[in-house]
This record gives sequence, structure tokens and C-alpha cells, in this order.
Amino acid sequence: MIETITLGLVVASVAILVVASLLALHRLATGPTGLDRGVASDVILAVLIAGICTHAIVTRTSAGLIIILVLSLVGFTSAVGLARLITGASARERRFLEAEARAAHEARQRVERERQEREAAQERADQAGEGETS
Amino acid sequence: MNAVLDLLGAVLLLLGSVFCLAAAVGVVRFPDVLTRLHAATKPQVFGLVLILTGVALTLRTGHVAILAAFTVGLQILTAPVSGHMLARTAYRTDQWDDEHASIDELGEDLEAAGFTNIFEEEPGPPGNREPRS
Repeated sequence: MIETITLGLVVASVAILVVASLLALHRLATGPTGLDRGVASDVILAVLIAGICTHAIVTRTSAGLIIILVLSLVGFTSAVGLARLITGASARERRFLEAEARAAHEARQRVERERQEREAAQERADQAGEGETS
Repeated sequence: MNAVLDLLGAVLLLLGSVFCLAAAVGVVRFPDVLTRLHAATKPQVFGLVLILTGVALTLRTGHVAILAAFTVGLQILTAPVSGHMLARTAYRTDQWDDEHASIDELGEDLEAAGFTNIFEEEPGPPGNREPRS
């Protein structure tokens, strides 16, 4: 009797965790900024940890419990890393800045090439002039 | 006795997963990054505490209890740090909803200290603007 109640509670908690992960997945998909997605992935990580604990309860083995430690460390590192690498420039502004930098680089290269050609032509003219006078 | 402890562990597991569901519902329903962060971190740690207590009650060995306590301690140490970093980035890159926020103490402190918000400057060519006094 108690065992069936226990099993029913475990099945109910698994269903609740599945619903929670689907909701967090919705926020991961929508969620206008990257920080929203970071928060949603943090929630998904918590659900994952809860799922591993449920597996440990159902099968009564503690072999998988060391994964929880690794998962919480990885989740912490990824959240902090994501937060540090997000700047304020939007995607369009970044593309504009990249295009600007590329155009400036190509213009500099073109100017350099023309200057070299002019110098080479000047040298050839000088040599031709010296050849004529000598 | 063992069956009662198993039942208690399952009840704690159910309560912990309800907390995880509360965190997920808050992340979906709240309007802004900072409020979603608040909804995601607070129930998450407490739900983890409940779930790991349930696991330690079901698997009644010593090393599981030590592992559970260690994981709870690690989560309590790291969850505020990651939440703070996300909130800091959201504030500094102006990705939060400052129209519906009623109090902004950090903004007042920063203005009193002399910082200007670079996302609030009027657009226009540089050199035309009046210097801020």
C-alpha cells in the first residue's frame, strides 16, 4: 500500500518535471534577449538535476549522483560566461561595424597598391631618363 | 520504518519538483529579464534542497548524505553569483524594462557618482552636443 503511494508520488513528480522543462524550453526558444535564454537554460539544468535524483530514487543506486555535482558547476560556469560575453551592441550594429572595418581595410590596401605602382612607374621613368641621357 | 522513510522521500521529491515547476512558470510568465531571473533562482535552490533531502532519505547511506550536503552547499554558493552576473549584464547593457520599474536605486547612485548612461544619449553627430554639466 505504501509502496504504491510512493510510486505514484514519484510518477507525479516526473510528470511535473517534464512540464517544467517544456515551459523553460518555450522561454529558451522565444525570449527576446540572450540573457532570457541563459535564465531558461539555468532552469532546465535544475530540472535535469531533479531528474537524475528521481532516477536515483527509483533505482535505489547512488551511481549517478556524482553527475549532479558536475552539472551544477558546469551550469554556474556557463551562466557566468554567458553574462560576461554579452555586450550591448545589437546584431545589426555589429554587422555594420564589421562591414565598415572591411571596407576601410580594402581601401587601405588599394591605396597602398596604387602607391607602389606609382613608385614603380616613377623608377622606370627615372631609369629610362637616365638611359637616354647616358 | 523503511517504507515510511521512502514515502517521506517521495513526498519531498514531489515538493521539490513543484518548486521547479513554479520556477519554470515564473520564467515563462514574468515580463522582464530581471523578474525572470528572480523567479528562476529562488525556487530552484530550495527545490534542489528538498529533492536532495528526499534522495538522502531514500538511499540511506552515508556517502549519499555527504554528496547531497556538498551539492546543496555548492549550489547555495554559486547560484547568487550567477544570478548577480546575469542581472549586472542586463542592467549595464540596458536590456531590462525600466519603464515599469518603480525604483532604480542603482541608477541614482551611479548618477550621484558621476556616471552617465551611454544608452540614453541623444543620437546625432559627435561634436554637436552640449557638454553635460
